[in-house]
This record gives sequence, C-alpha cells and structure tokens, in this order.
Amino acid sequence: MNRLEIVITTENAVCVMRLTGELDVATAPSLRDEIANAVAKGGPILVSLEKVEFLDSRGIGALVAGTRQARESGTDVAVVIVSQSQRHSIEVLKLEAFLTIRASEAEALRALTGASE
Amino acid sequence: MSGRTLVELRVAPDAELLRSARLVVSSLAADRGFSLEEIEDLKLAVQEACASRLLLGLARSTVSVTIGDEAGLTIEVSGDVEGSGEPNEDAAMCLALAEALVDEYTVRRKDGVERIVLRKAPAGA
Repeated sequence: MNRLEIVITTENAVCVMRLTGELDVATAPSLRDEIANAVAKGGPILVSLEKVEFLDSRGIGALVAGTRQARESGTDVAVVIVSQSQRHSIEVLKLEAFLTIRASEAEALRALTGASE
Repeated sequence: MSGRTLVELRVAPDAELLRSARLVVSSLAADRGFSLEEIEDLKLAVQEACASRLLLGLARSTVSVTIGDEAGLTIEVSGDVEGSGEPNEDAAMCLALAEALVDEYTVRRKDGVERIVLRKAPAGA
C-alpha cells in the first residue's frame, strides 16, 4: 500500500519535493530518507505539502529532522503548507519558529534563494 | 467508559493500520454533527493516541479503540502491555498534540494498562 507519493524535481538549483497523500507515522520514514538523500547531494530543499491530506506528529517530526540535518550541512528546507489545521498542529508543538513555513511554492523558493519577497 | 459504546476496534500494532481507526472516528463524528474542522481534530487526536502506544512499546499484539457517545464522542485508546513505556520525544509529541485537539484528555490505568481517553463535543452541541 502506497499512501504517500513524493515527486522530486530540481528547479533553479532547488530540490523540490511535492508530496501527495498522507504523511504520518507509517509514511514519514520515506520522507526522512528522501530529505537525507537530498541533503547529501547539497543545495536547498523545498517540501510542498499542498496535496497532503493528513499530517501527524511523526510527519512533522520528519520535517524537523530534515530541517535540522540540512542546516547542519549549511543549507535549508522550506515547507509549503496551505492547510490551517496542519499549521495549527505545528503551532501546538511550538515548531513554527524552527521550521521555514510558507503559504506557496513561490514564497518558499524566495525564502530558500534569498530573493526579496 | 460511561455512556453507550458505539464501536470497539482492535487493530494490529502496525502503523499502516492506524488509518482504519481514523476512518471509523471520522464516520461517527460526521454522523453526530461535528464540523469538518472538528472531525480533522478528532482524526488526528486518535491517530496520535494510537501511535503513542506503538512508540512507547505498549502494544504487543493489539491497539484497542473504544468509541462511545458520552458528551459528544469519547474515545479510549489502549495497548495490551502494562506500564507506561520508556519515555521518548516522539511519543511525547504524539500525546501533546492529542491533548491539544480535544476538550478533555485523561490518562487512566486499569489492570496495569494505560488508557488514553479523549473527549470532544461538537461546538454547536
């Protein structure tokens, strides 16, 4: 059963991961692996949750671990979240200041490339 | 649990199967007038409570989810291993999120087994 699809492209030297499905305790390890692979290759990473229908704390944990790993390697992860309930979960866990969260891919790309917003 | 028991669900301790508990809770909540936002909160709360049983090693062969209709919906989640498990950050995140999403969050212990009780009523009730 594959409940999470991750499509990875490179756009303007940014690794873009577009997720579709459910990011939860069962599927979060695959995102962790993909972010780790991208960090090993170098360069900034954009993770879009626009089409993620369900996000639990383990999914958030994968984003946190990936962000930490990227920053230790001198790069960063930006996360696109459009769902208010998903943002609320991140706020409950007091992780909104740690994660780089944006409302659109364009904003996330600007955050990663340093272009003025 | 006081009130009427609506559904009793026993799920194998497999992260892939926790989705079935979410689906049952979602269906019952929709029938009882919960808003879409409240249903999302309940689905996530039950997911987190179930996942915490796995992450704490408190479910050897089953995770039990009992859903009743006391004061909206009351959902009791337990594993089949006695004790509280080895504390870890992942499980703590699960429980912190579950607690924040419901009206009432209680931890009970019966026969040595820890039970997470979640209660939520629809806002219009």
